[in-house]
Parts: sequence; C-alpha cells; structure tokens
Amino acid sequence: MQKRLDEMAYEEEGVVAKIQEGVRTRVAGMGVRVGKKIKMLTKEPLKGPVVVVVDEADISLGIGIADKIIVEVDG
Amino acid sequence: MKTLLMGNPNVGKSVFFNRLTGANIIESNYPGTTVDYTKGYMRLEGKDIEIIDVPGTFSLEPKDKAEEVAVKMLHESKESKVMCVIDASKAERGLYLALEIIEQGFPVVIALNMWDVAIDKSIDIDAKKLEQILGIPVIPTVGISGEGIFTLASRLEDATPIKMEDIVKRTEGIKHKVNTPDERWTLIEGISKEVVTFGEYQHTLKDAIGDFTVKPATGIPFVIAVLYGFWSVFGSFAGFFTDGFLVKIFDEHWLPWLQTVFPGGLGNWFYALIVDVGHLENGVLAASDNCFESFGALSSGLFVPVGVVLPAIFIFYLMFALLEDIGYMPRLAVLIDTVLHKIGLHGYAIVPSILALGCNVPAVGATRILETKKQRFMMMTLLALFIPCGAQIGIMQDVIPGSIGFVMLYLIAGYFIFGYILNKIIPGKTPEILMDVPPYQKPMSRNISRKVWMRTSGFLKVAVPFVILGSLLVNILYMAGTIDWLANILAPLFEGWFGVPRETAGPLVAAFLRKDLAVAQLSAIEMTKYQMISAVVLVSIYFPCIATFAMMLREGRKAFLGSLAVLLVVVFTWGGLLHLLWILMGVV
Repeated sequence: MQKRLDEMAYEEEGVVAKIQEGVRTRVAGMGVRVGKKIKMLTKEPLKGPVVVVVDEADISLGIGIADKIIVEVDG
Repeated sequence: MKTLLMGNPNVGKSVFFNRLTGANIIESNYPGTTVDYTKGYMRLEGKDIEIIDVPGTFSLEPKDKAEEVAVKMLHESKESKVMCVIDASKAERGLYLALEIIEQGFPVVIALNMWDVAIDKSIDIDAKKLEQILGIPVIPTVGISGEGIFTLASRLEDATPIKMEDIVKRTEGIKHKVNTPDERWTLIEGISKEVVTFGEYQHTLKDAIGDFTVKPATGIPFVIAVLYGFWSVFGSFAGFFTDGFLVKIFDEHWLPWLQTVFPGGLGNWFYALIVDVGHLENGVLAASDNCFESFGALSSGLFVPVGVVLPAIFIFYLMFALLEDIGYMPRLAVLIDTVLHKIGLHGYAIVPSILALGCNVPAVGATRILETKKQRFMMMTLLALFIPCGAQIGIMQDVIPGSIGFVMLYLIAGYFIFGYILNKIIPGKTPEILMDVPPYQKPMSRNISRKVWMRTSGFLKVAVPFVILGSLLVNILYMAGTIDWLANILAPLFEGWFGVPRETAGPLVAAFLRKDLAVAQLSAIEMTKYQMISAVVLVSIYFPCIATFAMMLREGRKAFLGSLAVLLVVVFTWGGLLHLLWILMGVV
C-alpha cells in the first residue's frame, strides 16, 4: 500500500516509492531517495514538521515537503 | 596552494579547522555554526597552506545563504584542493557531496570523521578499499581528539582530479554514467555495498532521550522545563553575584575611593565626567552614594558592564554553550517550527533568536542559515527590535526586577504580532524546514570553556570601552545643554504619546551606544513603575545599538533601510500602545 510520508503512523516503516520533481534534488543530499527505507519517528501537532529516520539518522521535514513524498508501506 | 574544508553541516569541519590552523573558531553540535567562511594557515613541510573553513552543505544545489556561500567559494577557487569531511556514521550522505565535488574536477581528500561514533554504532568502513575505488586518499579521523588529522593533511599532495568513469569502472555492478542525483545514489549504494558493513545497531539511552525530547507529547513539556530552568538559573546566578558581591564592592569601596582620591571634587566638570555628577538635594549639590546615579565614566562606566552585566552574560553563554554542544538546538527548532512557520519563519529561526538574547550582533550574522531573503529580512528586523540582549536583560534584572517578566512578554508578543504582519505584507513564500537532527553528544568541557571565554571576553572588549564612551558622551551632552534641549523639543512626543518623562531623552541617546547603559541611566530618573516599564520597552524597540546597526548594514543596504522603516512604525505603535494600555488600566 502506498501513502504520503506525512500520513504514516508513528514508528511505521516503509520504502520511498516516489518523490515529486522539485523536491527530489532538495532531499537527495540528505539521503532521502527512491528505494530508501524510511521510518516515521514523530509528527509535530498543528501541521508541524515530521521527523523520520533514514540510515539511522534523524531528519526533520516540513509538512509541505513530506506530502510530496510517497512511501510504500506493508499491509 | 589553497585548500577548502568542505562537508555536510555538523560533521566537525570547524574542529578540523581549529586543529589544523591553531585558530579558535566556534564549534557546536548543530548544523549552521559556520555561516561565513573563515581563513587560516597551516604549516606543512615548511610551506604555508591557506585553509578555508566553508559552511556546511548537503549538495552543490544550495538551499540557503550559508550553502550558497559554500558553492560560490568552490566555484571561485578553481585551483584549490578540497578536504572533504564526512561523518563516518552517515558515510553515504557525505559521499554524495564528495562525488559532486569530484565531478567538478577538484582534487579531493576524504576524512572519515567521527570514526569513534561509527564504531559505537557498529558501522565498519574499509577505508583502504574506498581509497582504491575512489582513487583518492581516504583517512579515518576523530576530530575532537585529533586522531588522523595530520595524516590527512600530509596526504593532500596525493590528491589528483579523478574521472567519474574510472570510479564507475572500479565499482562492482555499476555500468551506467553518472549524471542525475538518482544515478549518483545508485553509484554510492554500489560503493557502500563494497566498503561499509553495518553491524547490529543497539539503541542506546542517548537515542531514547533524543526521541523523548523531539516527540511533542514529551518534548513540549520538556522545552518549557528547559526554558524555565534556563531563566531561573540565569536570574539567581546573576543576582547572587551582582547583588551579593559586586554592588557592594562598587558602591561601598570603589565609588567612595574614587570620590576621595580623584582631584576636583563635586561641581568640577572633569570630576563629574569621570567620577560623579552628583545630584541636587534641597538645592545643594550632593555626592552620589551608588554607581547607578553617579554617571561617571569610571564609576557607572565600569559598574554597568563589569558589576551588573558580566555575571549575566557569563551564565547565559555557559548555559547556551551546554545546550548547543549537547545538541538540543535542532530539536528545539523542530518543536517550535509549527509556531514560527505561522509567522513566515522557520524552526531554525530559534537559533538567531536565542543567540540574540546574548548579543544581537552575532545573531544578525546567524540569520544566514535561513533560506530566503524574506526570512532573513524578517528575522533580522524582528530580533533587532524585539529581542533584548543579555547586557540589557542583566541590567533590567537589577533595575526592574519585579516587572522584567512583563517587559519580556510584551516584547515577545511584539515579535509574533509584527512577524505575522510582516509575513502578510512582504511577498514571497515560506520554505519548509529540512534539516538534520544530530544525536546528542556529551559536551566537552574544553570546548565549552573555550566558547564561553571567547564570547564573554568578546563582550568585555566591546562593552567596557563603549559604555565608558557612552557615559562620557551623554555627560558632555548634558553639560552642553543638548539633552535638555532635545528633551524639551521631544516633550510632547515623550509625555503625550509614550507617557514617559521627557528626561528619558538622555538614556535614549545612550541607548544608541549601549542598551545596558541606557537602562542604568533610566534608573536615576524619577518616574512611576509603569513609566519605567514603558521607558525600558522603548529602549529595547527603538534603534538597535551601534554595533548591531553596523552588522545590519553589512547584510545589504536595501534590507537595512527596510528594517529602519519597520522600526519607525513599531516604535510609534508598540510604544504608544503600551501608554494606551496604562491609560485603560487607569494607572497613569
């Protein structure tokens, strides 16, 4: 099943399936790319940023970036 | 030969720089400590090599001003070699930038830094193999202990430009060309498969605390606790030293001593400038009994920066350095992004904002970590207007201890309200936060003490001469009658609009040089508690001190003039509104 990164539940894991053009180069340098394993650590309330784990590193993404990344999750 | 020190943010480039050049630049555990480049020289085999500490960047497609500086530096230094510092525990990311630099034709050496952290995380990298594949020197290093740094420097001469095709050829399973980010990542994954082995990663207590402090349910109460703790320690420490010791030393020993040994005596103009202007008691000139009222360059001029502000500045920088080096700032930025995003800023704006509580000058420089012109302009304007510096807060604690909370709240409200308005008026969109949240680190006492020392001595070097100069200038203007003249001209504005005594003109002139001196001088003017609050607020929001002014001008004339325009509007509305509030409350 695919969902947007910002829709993932706490502690949910998945694999990045698609990243919208424009956002792709911005997040590439931080290691977020298609095919990468990603885990949701937490989401800040009131449309705040999300914090995800990629390669054992915590990265914070604004919701406007997170909603342009599609993740394949189990189940 | 020139060497650029490059790498992702927060991989310890500044530590390298300090080690290689013997310089002392600030190091912290958060990305964006270096927003401008720093130059230094390293002596290697009898030759001086210029080293430039370049701001951290994730790629060569810049996303903020600091990264722009980095990319520009690289493009302007065609002849130089690059020392690329990689966080060994996040090697793939670092390789991404390294490959981009290699593609541009630069000779590169790679430092696999934070080697100890990688070992802790059971990550093993075959440096020899990586060196073989890339065709450039690769050395494991531990920046904070210095391990490997000089080996790396001595191998700079082995660095030569490498063709990407050759790297591709040497990497198993990779056939394609490397042009796009995705192709670059495929290559890196190919390289990583051959050289990096990940062991079983054990989650540690540090990670658990990291998670605890960034998740909103636990993180938000924690922020409040941290800020409250910060404020309490700040207040009690500064109060303990200032009221407990320094006030007594200055008022009971230093001032009386000056008054007896200094030639001239009360009424003499030179004595008044240097020691004590005195005050009228039943029409007779009487000597002052404390350093707040004496106004002399050697009495008030020394008492304000050393007796009152120094303890406050010291404890502020000590606590700030701890928060920085532990790595709390990025988590604070994530938690507060929600709020700051609503006024067009960015979680990261918390760094210049807190820095400004120490001193506005470095804070203006720190606005460069923000992405757009709009954000940088807003941040610079808001902090110059609404964030009182440590020197001012220190003296406020002594002069208006009961009302300081209200003053701070009123200023914070202004920060958000005018931030909201500016965000609506200024065109441009608000970029999304995108940043690394580094793991917590044990702070190194050597780094903390060095940082506190550098910042505190930096404060003293500027503050003491400026406060003395300010005292002299204001005293001379008083004697020449300029201040009375100004006070009379401005009387309708001061008394009618702002609701403060016209004598406030003097301290406001001083405020242009030093805000702490201005608040100290306010304490000598007869006024009600509410007038005092208004006057202190005016000192904060009216012109920033001259040092901040100069720094703002460096960020561009257009932004500077814009800030001035906002400033005028704010002084009139926000200053006048407070008067209105007092009228409505019936306290004037």
